[in-house]
Amino acid sequence: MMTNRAGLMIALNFLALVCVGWFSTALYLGNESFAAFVFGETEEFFLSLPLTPLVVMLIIAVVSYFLLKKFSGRKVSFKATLLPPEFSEQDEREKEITARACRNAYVSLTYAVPAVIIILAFEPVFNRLIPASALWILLLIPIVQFSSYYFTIRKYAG
Amino acid sequence: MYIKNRVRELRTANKLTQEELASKVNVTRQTIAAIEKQDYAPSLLLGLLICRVFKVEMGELFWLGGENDDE
Repeated sequence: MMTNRAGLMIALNFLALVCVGWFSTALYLGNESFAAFVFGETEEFFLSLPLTPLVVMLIIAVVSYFLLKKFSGRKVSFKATLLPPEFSEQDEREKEITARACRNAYVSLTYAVPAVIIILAFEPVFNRLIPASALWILLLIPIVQFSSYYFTIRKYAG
Repeated sequence: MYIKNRVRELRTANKLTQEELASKVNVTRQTIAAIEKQDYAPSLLLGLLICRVFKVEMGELFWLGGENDDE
């Protein structure tokens, strides 16, 4: 059950992050246009923000809330909604497994962050292929973090 | 070395399901299952709570197991 909860919540979390990336890409392009306007390179600027990622994020938030309620089997406190929904700490064993998973996720970031910084150094090349590529490269960090968290939960919770 | 136990034996003797025992000591059913499979060593507090449910002393329910232990 702990593994199912972690898997489902991480998938929703990741989908929400993709929506943030989508929305931020539009914001990034708008700001490029705005910077050109401010520094006198153009006489007008355009900012077009997509509504779809915001709607999807709202749906994810509602679905996550109801899943959290279902998994915990009781009323969800305000504090619980502020924590990552994949956290499961209903008793001492779950707290111990979650602590191990958090430790491993922390260790994985020690390696992932410098790797992502090096990949970001190639941003000028990637930008020719994908607009605002830096925002998408940053998504590698939660991919590593979530994977490490999920596989630890799966190993110890079965 | 690891902690061995007779939780399953005493639970069935007391005609309790894993769910019922879990609810009496305020943990999830999965935790009772993990203790019974010797996959998880409970805290001292949880161990004492389980002992109280079965009305036994700690040493009757939990003991140290190791390479030279044939029990």
